[in-house]
Amino acid sequence: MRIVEICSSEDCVIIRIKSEISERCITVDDGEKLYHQIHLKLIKGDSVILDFSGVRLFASPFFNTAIGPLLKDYTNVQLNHFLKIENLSLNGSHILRRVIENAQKYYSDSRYKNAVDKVIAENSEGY
Amino acid sequence: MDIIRIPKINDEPCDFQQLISIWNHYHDKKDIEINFSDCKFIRQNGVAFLGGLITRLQKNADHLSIRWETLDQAVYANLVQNGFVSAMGGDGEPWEGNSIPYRRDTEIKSDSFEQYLQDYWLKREWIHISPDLSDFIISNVLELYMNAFEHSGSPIGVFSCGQHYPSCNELILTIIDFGIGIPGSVRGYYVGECHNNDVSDERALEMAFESGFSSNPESYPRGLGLNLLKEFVLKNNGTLDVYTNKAHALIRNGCESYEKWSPSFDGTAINIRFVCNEKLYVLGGEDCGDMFF
Repeated sequence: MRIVEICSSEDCVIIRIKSEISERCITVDDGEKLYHQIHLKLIKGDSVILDFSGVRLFASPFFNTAIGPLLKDYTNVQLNHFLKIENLSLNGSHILRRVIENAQKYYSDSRYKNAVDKVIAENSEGY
Repeated sequence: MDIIRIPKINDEPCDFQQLISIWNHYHDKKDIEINFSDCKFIRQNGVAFLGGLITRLQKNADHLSIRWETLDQAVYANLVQNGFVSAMGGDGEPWEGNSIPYRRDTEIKSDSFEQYLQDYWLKREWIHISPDLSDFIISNVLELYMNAFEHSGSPIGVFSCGQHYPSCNELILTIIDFGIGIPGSVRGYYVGECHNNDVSDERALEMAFESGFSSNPESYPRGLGLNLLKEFVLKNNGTLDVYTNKAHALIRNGCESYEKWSPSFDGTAINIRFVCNEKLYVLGGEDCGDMFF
């Protein structure tokens, strides 16, 4: 797990999803595109608002790649502070919350896995 | 020459058994006739399945004869209407009716599939549901569609067909791929991860429906699609049948079961059924409004 420091620039960027992606937030490719946009702004220290006005359709592959990997790079406190989500429909909100829950589990499992690997590697060095 | 006699096809488990047996027995034959004399009725699952079988035979057989003239007139009209006959090279232009068009996708086209669901499956003249519910249902079905592409590796594509039953106010959609099957995909992940490969097909299928389980290890979290769909079907009185490899999943009446299935099917056939009544649906309740992270 890699935590990126955010030095606040006090700038706030609004990403309007309907114009940047479309009214359908479905695919892995669109999710990756949004992830890179968010990540670029966050490492510059900008706050980001994701405005989902007019977006009708959602599927988990989109959020898995747009939002999921952010939980590897940033803490929950950082994300709650620097990344705001607005005008997301009930359906979108339901899927996003599940994706975040899943990502938190995924990255905490890999942290656990890495810790175990490290212990095994350290113990094997003595043999 | 081998003759495939297509039976009457409903969408009960015994009908899927017949379809899978036909596929297993005939899909590699080189000289084939398809005869419909015994077929007095064919549901959407039969249309999608036959679409896959005929596509496969058109690619691989040396000689294929489709005896359209053996079809019952009403069945033939239905197959012309939903576009199956013209897609298979027969005569007759499709028109709009109660059958939702037959469709084959060889690559992922989520926008076009969404339009298909919107225009033909959740047609405004048929069902009276709010735009929110319509979007919610479409989002869930799109999860299925994309899953079929992401995990199956189907060499001939993904086949879909649907039906609207006004008398019982039901919508049904079948999506079939002829890839490696969900348990095969799960097992591939297990082998890749050096885990124990000794997991039954029905258990592997159950795992695929669990939250966060993905058969496709990547550098980002995934594996929610089937779990979200299951949750939606369980909450909303839908029915979901999945036939894949040697397993059958049935999600209905708030219950789920994963059982051993025979004959084995090297692919995945999914039948999903919704009742078109807005009052029956739960869209997940109010959002709690808490911070997301």
